[in-house]
Amino acid sequence: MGGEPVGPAVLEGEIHLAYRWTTGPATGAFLTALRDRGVILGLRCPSCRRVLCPPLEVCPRCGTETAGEVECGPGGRVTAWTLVEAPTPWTPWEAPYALISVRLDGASTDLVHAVTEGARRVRTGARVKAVFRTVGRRVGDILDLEGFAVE
Amino acid sequence: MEPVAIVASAQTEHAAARPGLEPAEMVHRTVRGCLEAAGVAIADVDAVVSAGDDVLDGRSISNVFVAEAYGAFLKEEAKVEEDGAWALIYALLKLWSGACRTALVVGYSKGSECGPGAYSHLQCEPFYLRPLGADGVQLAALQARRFLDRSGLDEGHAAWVASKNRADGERNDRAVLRSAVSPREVAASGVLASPVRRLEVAPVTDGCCAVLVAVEEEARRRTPRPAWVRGVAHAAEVYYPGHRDLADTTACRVAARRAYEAAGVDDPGRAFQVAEVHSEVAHQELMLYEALGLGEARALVDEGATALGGRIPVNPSGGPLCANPIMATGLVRVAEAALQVSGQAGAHQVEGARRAVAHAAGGLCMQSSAVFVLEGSP
Repeated sequence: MGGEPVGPAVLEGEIHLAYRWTTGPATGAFLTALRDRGVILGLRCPSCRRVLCPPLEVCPRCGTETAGEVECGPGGRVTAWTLVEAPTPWTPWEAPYALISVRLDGASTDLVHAVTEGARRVRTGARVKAVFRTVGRRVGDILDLEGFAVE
Repeated sequence: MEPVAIVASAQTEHAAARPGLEPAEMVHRTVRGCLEAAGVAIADVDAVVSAGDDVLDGRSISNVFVAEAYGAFLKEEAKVEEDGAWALIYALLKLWSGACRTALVVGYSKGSECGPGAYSHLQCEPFYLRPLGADGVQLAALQARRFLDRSGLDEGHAAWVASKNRADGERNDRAVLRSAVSPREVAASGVLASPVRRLEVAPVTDGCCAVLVAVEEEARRRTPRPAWVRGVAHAAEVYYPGHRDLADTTACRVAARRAYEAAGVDDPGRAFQVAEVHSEVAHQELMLYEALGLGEARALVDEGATALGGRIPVNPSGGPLCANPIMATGLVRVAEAALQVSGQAGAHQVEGARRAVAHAAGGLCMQSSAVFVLEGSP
């Protein structure tokens, strides 16, 4: 391949893009219920009967449009966890915190979120409970669910 | 279907960063090396398919910036925004359809330019995952925990895999990391996201891989040692990590079953002399042993069977843990497997390698898998 040429200096740059992401009927309903009612919504797939939480408009396995809101949680069981010691620059929490997948009560799938209280005590099978942003400070994003506390 | 073969391949000497080489130059040098190895002029190539990534390149429709460098002028040219292994599948379909007789496949990226963390963070959809600041390593750590819980294996098995890859990669002059590390050093290398440690994660890499494929007549004309593509298949799991069981490798199993059927492989545990698999975090290699039917992960590790010199070496090149040019990492697996079955792998050649399985992965936590069965010429 020949020798590496001595190149000019790199050009440093950044890309900043503003988006307006449409949330749609499933994610939109989830975020609205979270903001306005402090409720975690799932949607049921009429074909496989599973409750998808977080919900999607279409069941990713069956390809069927989901219908029928189901309130899930606020409690659940940890199905997998990781104690994050080297966070990315985009993480809202101080390390160490735990990322978990949690099977909320009433759901057939897992939500991926964080343990913000008792991160070092999190284990597979541990019971956790949702912690919500204070009423009046909710904005309609997933962090209206601040995280989970280990029970 | 008409037999098709890998005629030649070339890789860069993958590096942690190549500030002197712009992507088009890096791609051009690699393609030139591939064509020279085959004794083929670019005029003899009917079609080119590339795999690059707009986010990694920082340019929309990023292939237009490198297409001319890989010889696309007035040819059938297309890009897949998947690993180069999927670009290879596209090229193979062109051969099998009769649309062309010789095709060139290119995968490349310069991971050093924006960082693999940013790239995999942007693979997270903006509603549920991205606000958590997650990236591919953190989500793979959830997968590792789930897999260890489910399998009863422990962190020592994953550390052994990392150490094994680094020891084998020492012989591969294209690898980024070319120094052995002990399982003890892996264990002491610092937790990124438990149970995943720094030395269990693929390194940031700038690199490119080019592969030339052709129908039988062309392949035989160009090389005495074609690597025949006997079976190919791919399958995808659902996207969101919470909507699937992260320890489940069904997509890979389905792809393997289809590829093995096409290749007439009945007993994958005995059919292959070598495997190259796309595991960017050490535990994934353990998952893939079983998904590809190579054997039970615990037994293979206990026996040391997957190390170079073992019964079924897996990633004798050192694998992605020694060089991970995103968008080319899976294609490199296929190229390495082709080198093995044609007896051209050099210092990391597996003695007597006649049939190989190569695996490529895509997406978060190996959402997608592609499986290739390659055979050398008798």
